[in-house]
Amino acid sequence: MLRFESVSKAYVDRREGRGVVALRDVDLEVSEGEFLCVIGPSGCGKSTILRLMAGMDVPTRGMVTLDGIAIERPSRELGMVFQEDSLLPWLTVRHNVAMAAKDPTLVDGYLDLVGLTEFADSRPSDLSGGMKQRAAIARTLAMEPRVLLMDEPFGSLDEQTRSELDQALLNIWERDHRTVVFVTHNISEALRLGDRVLLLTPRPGRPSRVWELGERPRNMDSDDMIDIRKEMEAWMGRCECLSGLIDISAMEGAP
Amino acid sequence: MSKDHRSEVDAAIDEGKGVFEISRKGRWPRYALDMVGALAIILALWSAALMYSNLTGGVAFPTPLDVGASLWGLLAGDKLLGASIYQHTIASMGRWALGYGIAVLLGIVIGLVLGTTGWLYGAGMNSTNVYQLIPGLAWIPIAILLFGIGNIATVFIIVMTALPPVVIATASGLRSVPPVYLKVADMLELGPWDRFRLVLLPSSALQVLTGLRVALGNAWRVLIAAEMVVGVAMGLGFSIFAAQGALMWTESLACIVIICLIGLLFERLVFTRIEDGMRSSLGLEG
Repeated sequence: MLRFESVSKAYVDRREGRGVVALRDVDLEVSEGEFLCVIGPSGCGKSTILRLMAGMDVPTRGMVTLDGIAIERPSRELGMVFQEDSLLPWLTVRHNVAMAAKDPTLVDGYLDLVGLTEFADSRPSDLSGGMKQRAAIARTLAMEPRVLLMDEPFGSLDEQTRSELDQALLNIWERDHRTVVFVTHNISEALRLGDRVLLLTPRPGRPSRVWELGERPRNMDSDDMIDIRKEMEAWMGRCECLSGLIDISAMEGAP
Repeated sequence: MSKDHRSEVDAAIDEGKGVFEISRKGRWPRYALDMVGALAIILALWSAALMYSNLTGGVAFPTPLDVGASLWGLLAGDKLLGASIYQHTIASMGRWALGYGIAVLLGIVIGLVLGTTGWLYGAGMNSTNVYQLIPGLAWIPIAILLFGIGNIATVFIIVMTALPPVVIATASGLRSVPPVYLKVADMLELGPWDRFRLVLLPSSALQVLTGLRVALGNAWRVLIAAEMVVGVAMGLGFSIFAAQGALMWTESLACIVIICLIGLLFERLVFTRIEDGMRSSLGLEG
């Protein structure tokens, strides 16, 4: 349903007189109901892939489509959970979720789903980092998007909170098997969550390896999982050597 | 930690409380201390001026007691240049409110246009920054040429001086909304009104308030100066200028004290409270 066809994305910095090819000739297909994890070192184009999927950026070459229709702008079909705190601080948690809700009567249900019923009337400033991300997930779910795009949503949290939120996310996903694309640089997280894990190599970003993971629940200490983890770590190690972070946030997209 | 709260903190630790209230009494002594300190600095500078005046043997510089007595008399109803100090103050504040009000309305509208129109922003902000460099009093000849002498010219000078900070704060406030909030607005496909109401306005409100605060000070300062020159017959600036002409130095200084008190009143009682209220309603506390 979600498809990349020979997608390349470049950014240019006119002032500095240089450009970066963030992605090159990427072909990718995400099936309906799939949970895809994208891993790779910093600067390999993970977030660029997600921005293109979300319609927050357009490809320099190629096409990104949802059910055959080109994605050219953000839409409520493509819900994004951002890495940074994206709740509006002047609204309560309930209001943040309600402003996104397709059906306002379900707002309390989404808050209950992420365990924030008691904090519905709190401001985001009264919540911990983990609770803020739970609220952000509730907001995105309330949009009832076709695809849930998650850009290292738990990246700034400690390992225990991250693991709890991963489990909460899996529980939510198992209710309706909504399509999820989850970007992370954490191998353990990718192994816990993904049906498939895609590794990107940097400069320019390209898919270099895909792992199909088995049924859940998974025993992380099984021989198979240990082998896959070692293989992923080896690939990531190789990619880290190629990497070198160039900040593209101030650059202009080359459409 | 303030020593004032030590006993309350000790009690909370002893009683095993996680969260506890503290009395707010500590704020006043500190605030009062700051005020006393500021007053001491002003009096020290005043004394230096007195000593310098005595040394050079010029006109006797009024002492703080002279000015205090004059201020008391004016507040009690003594006339100054044919009107009470209240009439002078009301005349000045009327011009100020009119000029400031027009500047705020115009500034916010222009700022909104610049801040939300990509192609106009650069040109508009550059020209506003240049225009901001024109000193308030430099508008006097233009005001007189356009409107002659009197009230309209004074109000014009206030508008021209108070306008740039409001325009700049509004436009740059709208442009400095955190990108992630804009992405959220895009993702939720918010319409223009909801985007403005839920995202742009609250994000930029504090910056706009800072601009209004700067504009208020600009307007007040230029009003007093403009009244000295642009031919009005009543007002605090006019009083300072005319009292000096009549060698009523003490009354002239008493008017300056009143100007400072009014400025302080607005700063402390109006803007500080608005800012505190705004921070609280924007969820920016803590």
